[in-house]
Amino acid sequence: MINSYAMHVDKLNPEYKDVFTRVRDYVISKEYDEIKNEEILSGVIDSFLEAQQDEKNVNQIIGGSVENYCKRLCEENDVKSHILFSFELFNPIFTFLSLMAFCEVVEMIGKITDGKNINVLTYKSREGIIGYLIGGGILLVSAIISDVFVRKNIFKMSVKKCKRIAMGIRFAAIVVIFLIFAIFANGKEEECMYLWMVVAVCVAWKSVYFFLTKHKREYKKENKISLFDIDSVKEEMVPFIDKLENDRFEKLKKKNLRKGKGETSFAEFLEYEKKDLNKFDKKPVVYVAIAIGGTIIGLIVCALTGGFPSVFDLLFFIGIMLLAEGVMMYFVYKACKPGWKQREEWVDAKLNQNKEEYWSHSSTR
Amino acid sequence: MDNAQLLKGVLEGCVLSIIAKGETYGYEILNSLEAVGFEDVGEGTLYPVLTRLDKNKLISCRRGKSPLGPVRKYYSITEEGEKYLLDFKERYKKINKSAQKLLS
Repeated sequence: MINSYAMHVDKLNPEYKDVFTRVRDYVISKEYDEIKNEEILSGVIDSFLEAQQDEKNVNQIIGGSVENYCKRLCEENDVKSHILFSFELFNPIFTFLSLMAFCEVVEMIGKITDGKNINVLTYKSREGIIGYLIGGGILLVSAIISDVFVRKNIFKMSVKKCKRIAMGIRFAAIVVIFLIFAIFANGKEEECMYLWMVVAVCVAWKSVYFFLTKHKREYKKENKISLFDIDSVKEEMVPFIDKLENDRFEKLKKKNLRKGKGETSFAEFLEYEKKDLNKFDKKPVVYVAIAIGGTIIGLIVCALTGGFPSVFDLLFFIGIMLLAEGVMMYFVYKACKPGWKQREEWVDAKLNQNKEEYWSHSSTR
Repeated sequence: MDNAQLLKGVLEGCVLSIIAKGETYGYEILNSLEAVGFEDVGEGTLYPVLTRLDKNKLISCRRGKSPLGPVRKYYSITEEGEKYLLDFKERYKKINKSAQKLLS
C-alpha cells in the first residue's frame, strides 16, 4: 500500500509529529518515486514511534537538524523516478485526450453508419495534441517550481503556510493553462491532426505509461492493505458491528415470535447469520446480473418510447449502459464487501466462542 | 572535517556486521550503533547506507509489520555480503594498523 505511513501519524506526540510532517513534505517534494517515498517514510515513522516509546528526544533520532536529516534521507538522486514523475503528470492529460478521441471515434462511426461519405484517413480530430502537450508542460514546470519552493521553505515557515503557497503555484498554472486554451486554441479546429493520428499517439502513450508503471502496480498489489486491516479502523468497527448484530438478533427474535416459532437462541441466530452471509445477494455474479438487467430495462423503456434511429445508436446505448452500470455495481460491491467480511468474522468468532464454552462445560461435567 | 566524513567508509562495514548477527531493522541498528559509541549516527545517515548495501546486493530486505503498526523493513545479510564483510574486516585491520602507527 502506498502512503501506509499516513495511518500512524496520529500516534506521534506533537514534537515528533511536527518533525514528521516537515520530513514528509520535504521527501515528497524531493523524491518523485512513490514507492521510494513510501519506503523512506514508513521507515521514518517506525523509528519515530519506537523512539517515542523509548522516551527519546526527537533530536536524538534526527541528529539535531531536520534539514540535514532530510537531505541525507534523499541523498541518492534517481533520474528514472524524475522521468516517471513527468510521465505521471502528463497521464491525466492523455487520459482526457484518449477519452475525447474515443468519443470522436464513436461519433465518426455514427456518421459512417448514417451513410455519410467519410474517409477514415482524412477525418480530422477536434483535439489539438500540441495544446495538450503545452498544458502538460506548464503543469510539470509548476509542479517542479512548487516542489522547489517546499524544499527551500519547509524548514523556515509553518508547514501550513508553505503548503498553501505551493498549492497556489499549482493552481495558478491551471489558470494559465485555461487562459492559453481560451485565447489561442479557440476556433482552431482546422489546424488539428487527423483522428487516427490522435488515436495512435494516445495508444502509444498509454502503452509506454503502462510499461513504465508496471513495477508500481505490482508493488501496490503485493503490499495491498485493506482499510479493515488497519488496527484503528478495526477498533472503531468492533462496537459498530456488535451493535448491528445485536439489533439484528433482536429483530429476528421479534420476527420469530410474531410467526409463532418461539424464542430464538443466540446459537440459532448465529446459524441464521452464517446462512445470510452466504446468500446469493452477496455474490459478485448478482451485481453483474443487476448491470445487465438494468441495461435490458433501459432498452425496453427506450423501445417503448420511440426506439433507436439506427443500429449504431442501439449498440452505443447498450455499451454506455453496460459500462455505467457495471462501474456503479463494481463500486457498490466493493463498498459492501468489507462490511460483510467484518460481519462474517464476528459471527465466526462468536461461533468459536460458543464451541469453546460448550467443550469446557462438557469437560467439567 | 566532521565525524560524518570520517565515518562514511567505516559505517558501511559496521552496519553490515550488525546485520550479519541476525535479521534486524533500522531502529535496532541505530541502537546497536549507539551502544558501541556511534551516538552521532542518525536515521538520516543510516538510511542511505542501507539503501547502498541493498542496491549492491550485500543485504536483502523483506517488508513486515512492526508491533507498533507501520510497515517495517527487515534486513539480513546475503552470501555476497558475508564475503564483502570478511574482506572489509581484513582491509580495515590493515588501514587501522598503519593509521595507528602514525597517529599514536
